[in-house]
Amino acid sequence: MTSRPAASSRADGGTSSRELRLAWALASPALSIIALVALFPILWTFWESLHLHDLRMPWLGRPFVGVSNYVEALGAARFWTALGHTAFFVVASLVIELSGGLLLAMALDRVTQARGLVRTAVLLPWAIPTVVVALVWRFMFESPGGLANALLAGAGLGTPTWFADAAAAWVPLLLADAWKTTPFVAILLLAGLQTIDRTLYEAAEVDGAGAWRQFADITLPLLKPALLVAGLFRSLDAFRVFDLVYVMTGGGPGTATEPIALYTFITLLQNLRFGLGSALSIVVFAVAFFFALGVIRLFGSGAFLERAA
Amino acid sequence: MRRPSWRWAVVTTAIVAAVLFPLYWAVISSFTPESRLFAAPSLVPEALVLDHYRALFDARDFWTPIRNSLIVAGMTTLLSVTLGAGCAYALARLQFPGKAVTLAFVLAVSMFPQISIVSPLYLMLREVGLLNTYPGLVLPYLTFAMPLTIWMLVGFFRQLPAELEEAAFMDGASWFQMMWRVLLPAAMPGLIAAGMFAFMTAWNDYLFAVILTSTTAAKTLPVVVAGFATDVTTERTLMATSGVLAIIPPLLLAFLFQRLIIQGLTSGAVKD
Repeated sequence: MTSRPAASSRADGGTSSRELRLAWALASPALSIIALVALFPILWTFWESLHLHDLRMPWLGRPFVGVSNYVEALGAARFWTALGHTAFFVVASLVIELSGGLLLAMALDRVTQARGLVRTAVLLPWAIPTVVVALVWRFMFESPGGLANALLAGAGLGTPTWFADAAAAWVPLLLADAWKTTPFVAILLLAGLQTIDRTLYEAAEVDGAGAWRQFADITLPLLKPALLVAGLFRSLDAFRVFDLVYVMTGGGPGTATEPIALYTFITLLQNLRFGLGSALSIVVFAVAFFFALGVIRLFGSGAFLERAA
Repeated sequence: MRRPSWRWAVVTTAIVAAVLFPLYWAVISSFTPESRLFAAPSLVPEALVLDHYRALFDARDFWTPIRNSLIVAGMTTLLSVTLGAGCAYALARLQFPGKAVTLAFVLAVSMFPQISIVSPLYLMLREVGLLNTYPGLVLPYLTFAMPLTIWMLVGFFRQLPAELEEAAFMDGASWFQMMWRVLLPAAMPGLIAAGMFAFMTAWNDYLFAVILTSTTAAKTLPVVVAGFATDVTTERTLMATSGVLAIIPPLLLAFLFQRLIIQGLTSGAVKD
């Protein structure tokens, strides 16, 4: 979004009090709702995380315990395992989806017939609710009669019991996530591809650069901003992963695929330990927040926050 | 101009087929008799039956979750577009102190992990008696639908030429007349796109709904659909069938508004 649009027709003469009143009258309903349902709860979570609050033991009351919930959270092996699973899921899905999305975007860019139809077809998985995505893929991998095993057996290969194997269980999870979100990545990258000046390729052709050289020297460098944006959005989303795992593996076998959001969920809503669960929530929040901040700092806010300028 | 090459045509066809296959498989499964479903997976169904659909609507009340999802997603959409449009207009077109901070705040909230705010939302809604009600879901849904809508609409409003407003003011229109007759009609594609995104995210939600609703009367579609899988007795046929039904509204939107969705996805994300 381009050059600062020639908006704010009346920007030249400073802010009039009428404009100020109008601005706040328009903005405050939405902002107050956001403050009520997002800002207030996150502060509440923080407050809660400093207290012992166990819904199973109401007689304990809700005493202030300082940072002891954080000490317990960070001292638990299950926390670090869950964080490790989440990091693995973020990195693996990012690699699959960025490379798959790039391939898909380049293919879409070269479609000459039925463009709208092809794009719609490719976009469909993105529109499907995550819960349903999880069910469809679970269905295909469900042992023993599942489609995946039928195909593997048909090819004369071994058939793992996907959801009982700590390593194999990641395969359907990652495939399902890639299926749903690669279209989103591809659409972002396609928009980036279409901004590349085609004459660059023609000049490269004249200079005798092959397809691979053109890709490495023109496409990739010029696509970097779009790749960064897609990467940031996707990694923040993958970090929050919950529905997919909850419905597909329930974090199992055991806790072998349990991500941090699911561990937090279980602590809060199955074990009903609101204090400890809130401490975990704040850790999740802080990791996401500082990760986003770090990425924006590292690569410049221009790509993400230009609207705030 | 790029030379069309047969290699890319093959790649594209293969990708489209691979992308659509799981969808095809889900639809086929939902019509396959239970006895065949796990015996031998075959790509072309030998017999199609409506049994599973009948089981959903006759033996269970599947209309209730459908209605709940439609109402909750619809109300979320309506609120985030109407209130979000006002806020987005102020952020895009008016000068006021604190504007940049407000925009950064809106963007930051859209990145909040849902799990981090769900327990206070639960306690809050329990306190005011809104668990298992429509407002009890719509309000939490606004945490993600509203920032998304505002963010997208700021982009759309900024793309509109300033001359639109200037000309209207020149003709002596009041601010409301200008908004109603000129700016909103011009921003209609943006409003539709933003509304669609709000609808889809609300329709998609599972985490809030599974925590904030527990009664059959209040559960939304994803909760009921997932219930067939996560309950002690996994009801596999109902999983496929109910899943296929839950897909229909977002797929319809994707078909109808493909162009707007792509515009919306890329707005604000990529420089052009």
